[in-house]
Amino acid sequence: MIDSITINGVMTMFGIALLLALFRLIKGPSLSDRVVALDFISTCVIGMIVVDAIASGESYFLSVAIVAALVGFVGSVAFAMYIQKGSDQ
Amino acid sequence: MTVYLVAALLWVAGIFTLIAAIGLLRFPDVFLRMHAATKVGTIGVISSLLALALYFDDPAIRVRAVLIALFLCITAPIVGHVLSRAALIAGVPMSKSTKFNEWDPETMNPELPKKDESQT
Repeated sequence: MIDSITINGVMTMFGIALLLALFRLIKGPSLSDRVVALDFISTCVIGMIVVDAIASGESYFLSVAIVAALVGFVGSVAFAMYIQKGSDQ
Repeated sequence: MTVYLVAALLWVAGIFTLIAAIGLLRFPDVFLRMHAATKVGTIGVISSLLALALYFDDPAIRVRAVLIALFLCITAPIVGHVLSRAALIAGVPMSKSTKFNEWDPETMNPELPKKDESQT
């Protein structure tokens, strides 16, 4: 078993990182900053799922992590195409 | 022994993700922020996935962890490239400390050797 100090500390670090990325998502001067923050948030969520799987000893949520990685990638590329198309007009 | 290794990898993952978030918040430019968020964040999550693969003995979970790590390794550079290209085309302003922009011929450093277009 991993001790609870490690689990709680790492989970808190991921939570603080999520809060900082959320601040950038709200504040971001351009749309590109917000998309970068969204991509980082999806990466952070994958990390939190992995830490939770280690803490609880259950592996059910790992499929959710795979799906989160896929959806984050497709969403970021779609937003990038939207930014690029919007600049043409 | 494995437990200590897993705990150390988890701490590494947390510290790297926190550094990536601080860089995402503090860098002055969208391109520099992308540099922090894609590379350092990916390293952090891959470290936690390595801890997951070490902690469980089940081969199915290890395959899943390696699959997620491989997928992140493939997609993070693609996302960084596509987003920075879109931001460059959309005309997002760079920070003032950027020395020169190779895609902008007016601000390009004249000391650099110019590309011969007949060779390209």
